[in-house]
Amino acid sequence: MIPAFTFANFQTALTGTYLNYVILTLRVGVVSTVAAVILSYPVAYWIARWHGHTRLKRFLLITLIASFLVGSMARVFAWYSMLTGEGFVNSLLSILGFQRFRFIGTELAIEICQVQYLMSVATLSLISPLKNLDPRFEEASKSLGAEEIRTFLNVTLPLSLPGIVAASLLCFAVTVSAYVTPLVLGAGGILMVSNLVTVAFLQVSNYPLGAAFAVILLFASFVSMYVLEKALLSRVRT
Amino acid sequence: MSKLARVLGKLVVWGAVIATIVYLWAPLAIDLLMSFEPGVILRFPITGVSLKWYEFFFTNPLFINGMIVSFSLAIVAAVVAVALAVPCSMAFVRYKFPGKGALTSLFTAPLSTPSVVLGVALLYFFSVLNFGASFLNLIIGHLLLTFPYSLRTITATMFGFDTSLEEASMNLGANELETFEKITLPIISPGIIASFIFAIAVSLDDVGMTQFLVTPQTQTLNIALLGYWRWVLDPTVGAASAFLIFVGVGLTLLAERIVGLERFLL
Repeated sequence: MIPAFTFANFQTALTGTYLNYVILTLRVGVVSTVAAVILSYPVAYWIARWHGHTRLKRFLLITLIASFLVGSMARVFAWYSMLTGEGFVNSLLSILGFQRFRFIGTELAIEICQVQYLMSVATLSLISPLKNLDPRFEEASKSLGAEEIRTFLNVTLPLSLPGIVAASLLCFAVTVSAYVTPLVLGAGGILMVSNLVTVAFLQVSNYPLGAAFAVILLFASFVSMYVLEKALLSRVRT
Repeated sequence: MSKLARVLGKLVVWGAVIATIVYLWAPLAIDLLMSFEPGVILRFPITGVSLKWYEFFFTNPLFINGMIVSFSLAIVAAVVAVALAVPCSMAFVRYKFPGKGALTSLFTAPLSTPSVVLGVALLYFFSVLNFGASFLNLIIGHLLLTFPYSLRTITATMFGFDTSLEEASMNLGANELETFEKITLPIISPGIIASFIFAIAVSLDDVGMTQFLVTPQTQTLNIALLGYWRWVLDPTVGAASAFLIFVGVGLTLLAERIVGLERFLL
């Protein structure tokens, strides 16, 4: 290896198969984030703004935090058992008369597992902003005659938008840097950028290429974190 | 119309709540069930009930060594992170000093750095410094993962701290050390415990960075499991994840008991 300054490694990293993996990483990030935030919002809204059901809320909070603390390793092997050829989902499919589906090695499997993790991340970060909404805005809207659903759509939802942005960016940053999930559920057929970094460094010893992937990964994660900070700051100001 | 919308709204919310509970628990429960499979491949429904994969998991030197490494690493990294985070958060919350903003960003930067990138960076860092691969490198690396979490959790506790309690203690003749020990520490202890639990979980879970720093002697449990999984696809991984699920759920229930769950909101 001759030490010299070059962009050739970035060029390699952003062409052909490698480019496909970079795009796949971003796509998995976007799909998982959107799915998780849509599913999480009503849950966080329920915990933060509805009255009653204290015990069920506590159980849900335990569920979300336990799922968070259980970690990626247990989660990914749990989904492996769910989705493998003879696993739970496939047995269910075949009992119901459908064909078995090869989940392992698909993008879908990675997303299913990732969204489960992001449910904790998104809900736990949406609860506080939803709780801190000033109830007077909603009361004002209702006292002016708006129905509950209109109050929600025209007042609550727009007010919680900074919280939604913050949760989405956090989910995106977490997903693009995922390592174990694509490793196990992608089963070698699908790689994400974190896996490419590892392969380049620890398996084929192409350090410059690995470094280029690391920079791409760092860039994606820092950009979303930077926007996140801006979103949080604007929330503090309003 | 408005009645329909109300019913629909309720349906969406309750649907999401129930879906979440099922989505989050079902894989863990099914994994637990499938780990009792006596055969050599993971299958559902299981063909019998056997503890042989648990026996294999808990007697295999590879995994036992991994558990010892993982748990000692997590505990050391969590203790050091908390010990550093308490004075740091006191400084950040109570005092104004030049470079405070920059330092805050620096201390929380690892939170937004992908762990694989941290691993690569540390690999270079240690080789430039001529550090041989050792357990110390792992501790330094994991401190980068645990410290930002600890700092954030303890800082949040510090913000709500009423300093007049400390003044009262000093007025009554206690010196600063006594005041810290008898007043400050007990008040911030829920934050400390929460950050300790957080740190343990984060350290136990990491693979991205750890894989760059391990030696054959200091393989963590997760690295050992992935190494095994690469070659053998038997229900051992089911038993192993059942064990990790117990650890995670145990930590959560402990946290709920001692400090309440509100501290774990992100």
